[in-house]
Amino acid sequence: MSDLEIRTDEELMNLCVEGSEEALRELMRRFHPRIVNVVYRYINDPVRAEEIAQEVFVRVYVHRERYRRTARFSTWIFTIALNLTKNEIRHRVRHSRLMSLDALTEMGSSVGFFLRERGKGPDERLEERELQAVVNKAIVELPPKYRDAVILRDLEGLSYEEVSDILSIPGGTVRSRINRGRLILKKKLEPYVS
Amino acid sequence: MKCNAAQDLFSAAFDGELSVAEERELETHFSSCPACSREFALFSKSVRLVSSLPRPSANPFFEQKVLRELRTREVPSTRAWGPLLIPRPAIAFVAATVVLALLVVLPQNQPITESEFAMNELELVGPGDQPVESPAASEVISAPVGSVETDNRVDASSSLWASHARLASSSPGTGDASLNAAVRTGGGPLEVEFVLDPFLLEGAEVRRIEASNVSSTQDELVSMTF
Repeated sequence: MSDLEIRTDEELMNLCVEGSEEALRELMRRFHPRIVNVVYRYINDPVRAEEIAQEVFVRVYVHRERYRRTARFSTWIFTIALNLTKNEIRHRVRHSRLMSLDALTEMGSSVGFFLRERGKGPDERLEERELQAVVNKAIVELPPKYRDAVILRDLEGLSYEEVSDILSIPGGTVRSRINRGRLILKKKLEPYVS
Repeated sequence: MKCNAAQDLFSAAFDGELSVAEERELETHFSSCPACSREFALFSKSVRLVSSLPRPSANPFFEQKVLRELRTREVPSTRAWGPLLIPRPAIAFVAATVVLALLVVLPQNQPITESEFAMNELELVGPGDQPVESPAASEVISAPVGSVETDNRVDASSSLWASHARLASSSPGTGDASLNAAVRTGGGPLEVEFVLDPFLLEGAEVRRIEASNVSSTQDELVSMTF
């Protein structure tokens, strides 16, 4: 086990601030799949999610001097990832000629979703991939404020406190948004879990 | 306990975050309400289904791509505000607007220290004048109003004050939405460009802030750039 592997995320980021490319590599090993996963859940486009994740790490390094040494690294990098993802959604909405900010917020939830209707009957067992597509669709269609909380909590396993830091909302609000988002998902997914 | 109140506790119950009293109350409710008990079972299955979604497969060349991209980019100056000095039409426009606005708004005897672009911590103030944590809105680009010395400045280290204006928010949220209120003790419009993403200097919004007194503020979104 290398010296870097036993260091905390924050220690690695501090090494990055000093210019260590090796520390950045270790952070990429730890966070790359997680960042791609979060971005993908918003835009449902694996290729673009990968590109955005690359940009996240590029910016982490280029703007490394902005990292506050006391801050949790995961909070910082997920905030950057969400910001870039929302810029991507805005970009897509703008190029869809949906100019209003309200529409942007509302339509952001469905941008990039390309699920095809399979036309399966109710008695037919859904294939695993189809079930995943259904779950993905349900997540993407959540109202944005619930979607943010559910993605960070249930797909990334972040603590309530981390979600609170990343979304800049109080702990009680995190708790209620996660619950509300999960209840909406439960309603949509009920046919598949009952 | 009523069924709605029980539902409100589903997530906390699933995540093991209930207090002992809440847990006892919920268990009592479940024992007398088969419907809620069944709902909670479905809720738990649904959360587990969502959590079990596989991650997209990792690109084995990810690290190399990032490092190659890094080498093609110029690392900015060590000065924290270095990137702001890169000419940008939007900033230049806003800078000019703010200067013009301040010429109208500021009292003539107000000392103005002109300086280069400055980045300041923005203190968000919520109800009851309590500071609000909002990393997404923690920085603001001020046009070259510099560090204007005012007599009502409370916290020089973390607030941006322009003349007698204090930027405040009553509904913190993401960078898009949190900067929706401003308090001014003087009249006249003021346009300020806020960076939507303080980490990345990505995107900006210009708000025109008008207020005649602290209890009556209005701001209008003028434009957004990304």
